[in-house]
Amino acid sequence: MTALISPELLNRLEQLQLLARRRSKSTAKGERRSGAQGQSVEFADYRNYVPGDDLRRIDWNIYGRLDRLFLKLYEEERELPVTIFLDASESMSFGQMPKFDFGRQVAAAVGYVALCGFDRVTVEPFPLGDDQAALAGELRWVRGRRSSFRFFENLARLKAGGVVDFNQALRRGAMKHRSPGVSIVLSDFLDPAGYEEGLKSLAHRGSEIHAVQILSPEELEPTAYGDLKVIDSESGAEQEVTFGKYRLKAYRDTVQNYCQRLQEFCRARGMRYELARSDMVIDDLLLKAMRTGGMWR
Amino acid sequence: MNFLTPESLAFAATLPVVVIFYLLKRRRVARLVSSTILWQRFLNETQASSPFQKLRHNWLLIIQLILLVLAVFALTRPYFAGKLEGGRFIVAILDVSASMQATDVSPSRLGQAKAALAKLIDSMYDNDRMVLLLAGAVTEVRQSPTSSKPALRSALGQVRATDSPTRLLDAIKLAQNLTRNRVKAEVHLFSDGASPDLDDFELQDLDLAYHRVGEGGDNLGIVSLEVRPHPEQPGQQAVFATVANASTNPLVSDVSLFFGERLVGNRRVSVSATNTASLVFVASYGTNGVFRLLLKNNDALAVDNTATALSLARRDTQALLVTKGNQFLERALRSVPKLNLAVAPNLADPAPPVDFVVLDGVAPTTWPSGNVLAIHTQSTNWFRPSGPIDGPLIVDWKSSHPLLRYVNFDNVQVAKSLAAKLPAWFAPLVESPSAPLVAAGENDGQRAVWIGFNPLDSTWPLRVSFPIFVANAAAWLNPAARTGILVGEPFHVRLGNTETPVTIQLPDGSTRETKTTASGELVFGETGQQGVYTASFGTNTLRFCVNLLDRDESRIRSRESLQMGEYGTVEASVAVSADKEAWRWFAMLCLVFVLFEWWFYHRRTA
Repeated sequence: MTALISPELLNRLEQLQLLARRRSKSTAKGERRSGAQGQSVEFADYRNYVPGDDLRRIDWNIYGRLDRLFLKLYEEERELPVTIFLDASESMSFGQMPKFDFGRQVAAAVGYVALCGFDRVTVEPFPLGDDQAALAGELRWVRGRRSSFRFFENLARLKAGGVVDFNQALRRGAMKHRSPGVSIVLSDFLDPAGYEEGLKSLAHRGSEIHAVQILSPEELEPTAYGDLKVIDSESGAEQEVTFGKYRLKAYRDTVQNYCQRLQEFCRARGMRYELARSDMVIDDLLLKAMRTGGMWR
Repeated sequence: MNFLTPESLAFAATLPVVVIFYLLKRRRVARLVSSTILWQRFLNETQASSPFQKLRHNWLLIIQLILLVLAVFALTRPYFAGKLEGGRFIVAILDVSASMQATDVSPSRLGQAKAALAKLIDSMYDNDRMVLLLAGAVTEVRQSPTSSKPALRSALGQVRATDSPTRLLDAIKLAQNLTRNRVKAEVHLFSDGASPDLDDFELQDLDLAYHRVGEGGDNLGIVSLEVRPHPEQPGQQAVFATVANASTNPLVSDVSLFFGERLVGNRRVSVSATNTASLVFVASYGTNGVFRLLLKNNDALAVDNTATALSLARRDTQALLVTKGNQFLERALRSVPKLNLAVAPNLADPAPPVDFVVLDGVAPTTWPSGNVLAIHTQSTNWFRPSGPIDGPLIVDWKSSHPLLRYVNFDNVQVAKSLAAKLPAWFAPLVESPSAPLVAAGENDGQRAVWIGFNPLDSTWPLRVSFPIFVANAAAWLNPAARTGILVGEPFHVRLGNTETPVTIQLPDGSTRETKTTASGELVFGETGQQGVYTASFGTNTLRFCVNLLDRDESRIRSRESLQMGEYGTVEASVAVSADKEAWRWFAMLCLVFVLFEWWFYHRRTA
């Protein structure tokens, strides 16, 4: 079907349902329960009739018993906006199995689950290159399972590159998507300026946030030793490092602490957090880790 | 503190060089990473465009600077001014006898002894002095007292084992003389203790350390070899040999006798523990040649597995009896095998062409120049009898002398004898309370036997000891027949009457130039090698054999203690008790330290 996700996985993804802890606040109709009242089969409440109300919604059974006019209210089912923030910076193209490829696969899976659940999916790649602006437009407000093929194609055409300010990108995304929904952030979260402000601004919008940190094996277990001049793939900054096998443990601790800090930050703000290796089997992340993490069921 | 070589401080100029190396930046391998955030902890320094960097705290630099400072400091040879105590005076006696060739320890006993002595040399302080004595059959001062370790090592390196028996007594006595009246004197003996002559030595206050080498092992050795005319077959000669087993195990070996390159006989001999076995080979008289006896077993000591002896010459001994008539004497002389006797009433020629002259009661006008058996002569060249003694009693005789072998004077009575004052070179053999009755000696190559009484005035001719004595005298007075000596013994032979140059070829092929004395006697003392020696003089050649034939040397069990005199015992000290300089260990530690530093550096970067 597509290079991003295997047909078998798609079959299994179809059976999943995206979970949302809050009621949808979207204005568009969908299949998610919302706080708004409208037309559906789900009873919500009664209220007194006031002139001008639709006579079709008067509960005549109550009028027969109480001789008073009451209006029967139903829950309005709205759609759930699902926004996938996909880090497409240069650092994501790093690794034997590039993190960006892995990120696209996760985005495709999440998007597919959402599309199957009649939710509205938006992929927000950042940074957005000039040649990809049109592509980003195609990936916005995607609805319906039928759009999934096109959605995958567009996703596959995305490329990683450039420098990004993570916080600013997320802040801008939060402002763009005013109706709160589910936000999935796929990134390595390796930004010198930090990730806190961006995640906070998303949270302030009321979004339910899932942070998936993707790191390559080379980042977790470096294989280069000796007197090194490490060059930052995004900024090009050079740093001189003397690294040996005996310092491997210290490095591992550093990585673990970094991930731990991110995880604690997320937990403190009600966000969900997953750590993924870019070379791991994606089924393990989607069907096990994210399922138990409450992303879907 | 002062310095012997302060100019070595110039090496301190290398210190800044090391610092410069640390100022120079190392070439680094460029590596692209996704982000440097995870590397923040390992960042060494910020990017600098210059080839130099700021000098930072670095343990490697500090270690290297310390090492360099110490090395420069050592090169300046610092010393503390102070009063130096008098050093030790060490006498090292190295046994170079045949038994030290034994290979029961690796590489050999001598090798082990040399290694132990080398350690002792290494441990000497600068103010210690050492004398190196080599103890073989004779004691040799290989190195006079010196503090120079290179000289001692060089002298030690040139030491080779000889084939001679051990005579430690001379060496220890020399050491005793050398250390007399010295405060810090030590004598170190490196030996296997196979010396039979220490019983007569009193240790007194000699500080002797016995460094025992060797352990002991199976050894079968030839301890005697003699060629004699066959007692029963006149045309044959018999080769008598004795093989001794010094070990505590019974040993079996093949024994082969060669005449030149020709095999005469081959026997299998089985010798029980600590016992001997005798062998007799029969060979016909042939041309002049050498018998070589070979033990074909692979034991710890090889030098005693071979022995040589010259074949007997067919020539008979020529003797002249000058007598007025003595049947007993004449018959006794004629019964000596292979002796041609001429009898004359007086000595016409002072130098008759015979091997020896017997003067029986005759005083010649000119004393013969050759060997003489003088019986009851009134006056001789060397002494004049002081007067007659009546009925002298024989109280003592030297049965160990070759002349008195198997000769017994128990039932010999003498009616009267001449009393004489003997010169120093005469050894009395048979003594009465007032004067010697029989004496023998050798002066300037001339052998003489003197009997003070007329045998006819005694019961001696009626005793069996008389013909034996005459036969012994005939053999002793014909020393030219003596062609075999022991290792280390001087070889002497009369080659003529004038001074003659002689070239002697040693068994190893080397030659020595010497000459006889004015009276034509050759004395050659360099007989430290076992084998056949050839002396060439004019157109003639003379061969003689040198053999070890020493039971003590074949008994290779190393002694754990040395019995010195009646009461003294020197126990073997296993280790050389000596102060060892420790600077080498520190140098080793220094090396280890450098290696550690190298490893530490690579561990950081590998």
